Amino acid sequence: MKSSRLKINLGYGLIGLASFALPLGEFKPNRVVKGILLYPTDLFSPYLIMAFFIGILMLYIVQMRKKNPGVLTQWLMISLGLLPSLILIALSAVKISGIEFNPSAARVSLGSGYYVLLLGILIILSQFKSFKWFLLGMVFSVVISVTLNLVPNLGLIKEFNNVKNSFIKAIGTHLTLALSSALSAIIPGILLGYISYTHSRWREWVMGFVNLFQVAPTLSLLGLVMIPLSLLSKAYPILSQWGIKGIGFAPAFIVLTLYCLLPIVANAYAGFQQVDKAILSSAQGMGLTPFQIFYKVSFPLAAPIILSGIRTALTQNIGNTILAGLVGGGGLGALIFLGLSQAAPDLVLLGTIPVVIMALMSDQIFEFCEYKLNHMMGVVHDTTQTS
Amino acid sequence: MIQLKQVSKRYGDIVALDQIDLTVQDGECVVLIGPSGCGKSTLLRSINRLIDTDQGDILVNGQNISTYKAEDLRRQLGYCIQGVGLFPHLSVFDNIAIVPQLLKWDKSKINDRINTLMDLTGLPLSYLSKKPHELSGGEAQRVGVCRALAADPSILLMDEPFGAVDPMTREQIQLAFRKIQRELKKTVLFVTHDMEEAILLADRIAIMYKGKILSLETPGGLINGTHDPFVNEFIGADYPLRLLKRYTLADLKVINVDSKSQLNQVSSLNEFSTAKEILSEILKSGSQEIMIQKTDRTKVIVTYDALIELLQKVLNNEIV
Amino acid sequence: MNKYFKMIAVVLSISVLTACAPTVKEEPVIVATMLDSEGGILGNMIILMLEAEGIKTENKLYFGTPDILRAALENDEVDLVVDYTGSGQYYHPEDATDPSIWNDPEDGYAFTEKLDREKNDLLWLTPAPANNTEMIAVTREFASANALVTMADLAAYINADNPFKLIASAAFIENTMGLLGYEEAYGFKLTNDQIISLSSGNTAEMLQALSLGTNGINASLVYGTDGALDQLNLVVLEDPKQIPPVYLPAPVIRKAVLDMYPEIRDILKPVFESLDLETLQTLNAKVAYEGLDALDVAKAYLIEKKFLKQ
Repeated sequence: MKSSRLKINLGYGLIGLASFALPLGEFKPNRVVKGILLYPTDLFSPYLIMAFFIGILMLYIVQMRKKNPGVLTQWLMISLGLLPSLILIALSAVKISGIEFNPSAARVSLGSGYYVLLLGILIILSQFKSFKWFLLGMVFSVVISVTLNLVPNLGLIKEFNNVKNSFIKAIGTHLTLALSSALSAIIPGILLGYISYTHSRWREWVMGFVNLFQVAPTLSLLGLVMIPLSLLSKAYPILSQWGIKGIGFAPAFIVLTLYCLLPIVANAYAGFQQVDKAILSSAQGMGLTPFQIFYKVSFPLAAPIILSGIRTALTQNIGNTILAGLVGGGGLGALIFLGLSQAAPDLVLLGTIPVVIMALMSDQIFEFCEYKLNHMMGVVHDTTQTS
Repeated sequence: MIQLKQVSKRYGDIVALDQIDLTVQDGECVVLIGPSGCGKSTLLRSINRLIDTDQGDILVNGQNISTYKAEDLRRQLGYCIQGVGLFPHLSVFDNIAIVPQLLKWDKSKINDRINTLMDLTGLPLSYLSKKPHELSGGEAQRVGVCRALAADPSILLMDEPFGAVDPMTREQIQLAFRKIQRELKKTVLFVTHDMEEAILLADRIAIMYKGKILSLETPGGLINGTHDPFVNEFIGADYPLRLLKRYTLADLKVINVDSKSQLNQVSSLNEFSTAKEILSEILKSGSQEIMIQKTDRTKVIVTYDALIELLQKVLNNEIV
Repeated sequence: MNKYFKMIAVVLSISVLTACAPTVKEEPVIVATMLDSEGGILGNMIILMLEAEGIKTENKLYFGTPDILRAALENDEVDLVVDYTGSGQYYHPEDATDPSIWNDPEDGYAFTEKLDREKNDLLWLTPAPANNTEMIAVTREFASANALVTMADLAAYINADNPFKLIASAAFIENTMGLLGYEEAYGFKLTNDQIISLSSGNTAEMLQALSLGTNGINASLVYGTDGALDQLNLVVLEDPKQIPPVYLPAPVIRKAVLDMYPEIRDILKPVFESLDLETLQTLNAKVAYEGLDALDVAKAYLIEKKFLKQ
């Protein structure tokens, strides 16, 4: 009880702060110039804000008294979920007078108040069972607002319209790169993990080697990889035809694969380690060859933990793939760096949001897969990863 | 048949096996027993080459084991360890089927074999789809026995297989195992530290100490006290009494009686009761004899004298 | 056990398939530019013009920083880039012994064009007459408040110990034809706390800082064709001594590619010749400040000037 009460108080405090002290958005006449800050009272009448607070309070009281969320609570949650989008719509529709501006160039960016408000609401509501209804309402209303073009003046939307054509392609390239490099680290990672397990002398070497890549700065790694690749592709033109060049897909792919090694190797090692020695001894005594022991016994028993390592690798890789944008590899990283170089924060946001969403989705999908695998194995493993 | 000739093994300064000579005849169950570190497990594991010996020859069914590829050798021997080592991710069926699959038996043959084994060890066929963690300790042990027997090896190597089970279940499994071994005429080399288990299962008991076999006798033969002082101490002064567990009503001379009388009947006993239980009941009854009803409802009378006669026979090596 | 084989097979095939990047059968011309709006505009113009003449292109605009772009071009990773004539001083430093050539638009171009043709098989095509050179900009109010019109006026202001902070790229600050050249020519010297040095040459952030007055910045590096000047109410300080090198934007193409499509030279010539300083400033402003799509801006311009039909 105590910690959730703390959470509620914290949540209220943040919401209160947001409502009065921080700007919900910023109206900018053009992409780069400083704009006019928009506060809640600029967008909504004070009565509406009051009503919102009362609504939250009501919800809190209703939820606290009931053990199971009734239909009323569900609908209250859904309607609260509409709030973030309503603010977006209001921001987009704001009318400014007093300064001259070009309507096509002007845009509204989200302010700190918006994020703080969102955080506060999430903190309060996440402790309730019916929280998923809030999420449902929020996601649904955001998607509707965007597709029905209810928020055309948002900076985010304007930047999106600019890069519309290449956006989907960027997501595709990004996902392909992230997935393929993670996948190609799987087999070497498992083998390296198995080798460190069976030959303990080599373990330090393997771990050191794999750790090296985590520690080395990415840019240096990219640079290091680009030079030999470039020389190679010049010496053997057929490589160029296959798309293996010093820039673009190839160096990013190699560096990303190396990054994915550590979680997979570490988890593979841990996975093989935790297999009961008695089982291995019995397998050997029954007459299985070392290779048979590997694929019939060790590997299946280590599989859930290895899967957890792959999950980590892929989820972190989706973020790492942003770096491909630095070497002409495309993807969402290219958008992010473009936004950075042009000092257009909304473009950076546009590039970052899909990365976050994809990473979260990948994590969820893998969690489900792990659950299924554990079921199949019939043994409950501790799936917390070790790296 | 297993033959060990002058087999030795050292670990640094420690002598694990010291010029061991041992022959296990076909269909015989030899139990290796001794204190921790005596070398019994080492001996067992040198037969399937989990351990390599320094000197001496080991022959299985007349062929030197060094002439085999290790995996081929092991697939011909049944091997069962303490805690069984069932593969947790496989069903009972798949666990048992491992070696036959490795030997590339065809599916129907494997199916038939497994059904037979389940029947033999008293496990219901519905257990075949279960996973090891759904089984009790005793059930898992039985599956282990099935697994060892799966490819129908002529020789079984058992390394304290029933150690991890509670005493009551253990007794049941031991009896079941003895029955199977005798019926199927399997050659068994069995390692244990439990004297009573040895008494129950063995055709001969080999007592080991510091890498040597100090004594190799039938259970009955161990009663004669002319042995190594260590052996005497090891088997204990109450050995003859413990030996009584090996024999049942069938081994005693009994008097058949009319089924209607109820005098001195001890209802907790039947023809499977051990001589030890019968002796205990006679003592408890306070009389010289008791009556036991067999499962076929016929009744017999057992006297003190019958028990003493049994012991005499054992001492004279007339009964094994 | 079969499940595992299937899983492994699936995993293997996916990684093998995706690891082989799709090959391009025809030989399109790979067009690449730097990360700024001008690169986007000029790059899109090139692509539109080439495609209209039936030459297939591959769009790698906003490729990366200038050195990555140059490295890619030298290694035949890309075919056609937009570069600046003054960069010759960096590409052939051993031969760039005479600094005065960079002050003349034609000399600089000739030098760079000759050496790149001879040493790297790279050909510089017709440049645009827009000197995208490095200058110092201040806000309009700052200029009028302190009566600053030329660099000499600025030097006087600085030497009178007035508050001053410049934001610029490291390359400009350390360059004898950049800040150091200005200092020597106009007689002033900036201390370290009067300078904020950024590693990239992208002026968007610098100008934003200048217009917001962040960190007390009252002057910034700006490039001649930057669209910011009007939008952000900034003025450029005149430089009668012409210290920084002349940077004219021009297409640079690999000889092998030009041999395959020799008509490229004539396709791009009139387009680039039409782009003078004010034109580029306006176009840049549309993209960087109004946030319009560089492709749309490029297309509208080409159609207006009748380089493109429809």
